[in-house]
Amino acid sequence: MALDPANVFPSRLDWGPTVLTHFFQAAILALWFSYRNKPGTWKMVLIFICFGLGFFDKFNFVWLILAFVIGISLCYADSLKNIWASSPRLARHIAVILALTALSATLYFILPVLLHFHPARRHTMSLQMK
Amino acid sequence: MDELDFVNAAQGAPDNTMIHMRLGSVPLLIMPYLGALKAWISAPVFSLFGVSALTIRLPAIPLAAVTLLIFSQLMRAELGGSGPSSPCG
Repeated sequence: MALDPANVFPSRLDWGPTVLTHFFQAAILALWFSYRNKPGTWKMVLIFICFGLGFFDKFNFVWLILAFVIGISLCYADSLKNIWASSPRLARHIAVILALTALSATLYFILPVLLHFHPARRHTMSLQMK
Repeated sequence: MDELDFVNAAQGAPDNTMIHMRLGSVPLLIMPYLGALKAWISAPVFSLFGVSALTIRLPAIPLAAVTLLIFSQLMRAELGGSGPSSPCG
């Protein structure tokens, strides 16, 4: 997987956001599995920071965030229950507030793009037969 | 050519080329769906070594190397040490 062409090849075409996307993707996965082996609050904080930076890098990172959240909810539901049960009440409240704030910010940035985005006219359009 | 999109923002955005949104004078979005994170990362590189084809691409190289290292260490930790040790398997 580390050297999967799907991961490596786009970096040769795009030296920017794709590289950062893969970096945050790798960091999130590594932090999550590290958390499962040895829990630590700082790892969850870093995962949230990676979510934020990855999204800010390019908004289509939201698909990876959704996939990650759905994936761990389905495959590691026991871990999520343990995190929730073992966290102090204050930490739970802060996590819910942060999640809602992040969701609001995400929608604030994404909705205008979704609702008002007009794809650029293809430059070969003028070559088409009338 | 995409990597040139970030050069203006990384140099402090003296004009509005490839700047979609600012926070004060700081470039925030390069395009409606693209933040200026790469520009912020490239800014110190440009100020130290100037703008060239090498310095535009330089930050991505160690970052991609670290990404591959993280992935390989993760796979080794989760799947055991019996996996392929070389890229060719």
